[in-house]
Amino acid sequence: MKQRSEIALVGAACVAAVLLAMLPMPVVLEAWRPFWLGLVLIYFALEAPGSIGLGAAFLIGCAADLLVGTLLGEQALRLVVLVFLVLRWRPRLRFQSVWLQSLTVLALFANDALLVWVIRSVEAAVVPAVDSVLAAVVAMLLWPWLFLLLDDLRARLRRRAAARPR
Amino acid sequence: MAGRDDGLNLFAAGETSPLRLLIFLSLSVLLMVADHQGQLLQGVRAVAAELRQPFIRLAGRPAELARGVERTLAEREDLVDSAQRYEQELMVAKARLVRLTAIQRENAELRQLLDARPAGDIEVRLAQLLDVAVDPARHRVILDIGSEQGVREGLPVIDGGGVFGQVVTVTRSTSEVILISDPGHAIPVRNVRSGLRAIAYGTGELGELVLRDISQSADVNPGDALVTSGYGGVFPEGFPVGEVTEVARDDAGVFMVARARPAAMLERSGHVLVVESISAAVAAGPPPEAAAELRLPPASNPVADPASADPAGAQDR
Repeated sequence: MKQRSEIALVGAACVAAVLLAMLPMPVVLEAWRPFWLGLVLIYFALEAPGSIGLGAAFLIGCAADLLVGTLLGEQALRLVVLVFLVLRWRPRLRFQSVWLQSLTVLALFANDALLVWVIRSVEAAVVPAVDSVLAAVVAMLLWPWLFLLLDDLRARLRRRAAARPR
Repeated sequence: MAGRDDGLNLFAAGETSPLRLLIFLSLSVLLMVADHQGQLLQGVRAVAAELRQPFIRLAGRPAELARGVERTLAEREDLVDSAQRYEQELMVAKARLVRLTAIQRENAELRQLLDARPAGDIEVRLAQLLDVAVDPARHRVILDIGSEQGVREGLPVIDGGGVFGQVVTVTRSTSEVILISDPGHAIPVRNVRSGLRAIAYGTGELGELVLRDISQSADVNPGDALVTSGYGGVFPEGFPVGEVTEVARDDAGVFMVARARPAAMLERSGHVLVVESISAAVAAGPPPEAAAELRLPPASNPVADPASADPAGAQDR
């Protein structure tokens, strides 16, 4: 069920995620930066699978690559993998408690860190640093809050849409 | 369980056939390979560079605001101390500049006597790093000047310490620079003490360059200063690249590997200088602390007063 307002929310959330990805951080904190776009798409794949498919994930990833400056296709690959995994196991994931979901998010982003390492080591042999998992941990901690925030925004949009006279 | 495949509609939301996953994975890998090789996607990158502007500006706002607040709240004492320090540094730099101009003149005369090719001018343009985290793993930064200001691809970039990187992409008002610490970057260097020529590769770490395949009998010691050798025609000769930190056998035991710390302050944001003329190498140039658009003709006094307020005041950014 693709409502226009829902698509707008997805778009706005993606833009915010890309901006957060580009926000300059002190070098020390750089390793802690979570994959915001991944978090956003995981949420929408979980709660509103009608609005996100593999194709959308791919396109959004490519756009993000061009904007952020990563290798074209890198974020696309990561997002496609994330969205696929979430859609695949959606029936199970949906009805977990938020805390169990957080653990799943941790697992998803740990897998993502592995993907990133593989991609990076193609260019130059990179030792997987311990801090590549930090981003996954931060993502796990952020998940409940992001979930609540986006849920709230979606509920407001639905109420607004329902209240609007047709 | 595979979703319903209605004619392989790639964009049907909510569907998760492994076939589609495979298609998109292959597409992504293809794109990455194409982008990595550099040539095939130049056009796309150029368009994207233009479209990025609003995002870059927007993403840089919070940092700008934070800096503004910091400056407003700075203690008067700290500001006075900073100002004094900059005055002193400026005096020293000016004195050095006068001396080096004399040396440059002498150098030009000697070259003439020896009938050698005359050393050329070097022109630099001041640029500010746009405060945006452009994927740190790729070691790229963005400058706030572009083709409108005369920046071209391939121009070397230096900062107060030494060689910073090289311009790779240029748009009308910004340009992207690859740092010397990028694993894909290599710069020909010369050991100042022993004259040994080598190539310094980036390692992916901001604080480390590596010189590979050095013969065992080569004269390299920790503490040696490395400068650009001018080979390759990209970086003019004589700019500081780094200092050797250790020399060791490589994994195979056949050659030596030297590690060096870059002279440039790669992790600092702030200002850098884009070297605009690359047609000639300068044997005895001024220290890179030159001011904006400083032009040093071979046989006359420096034209620009390096005391233009901007570089000194801007170093605290």
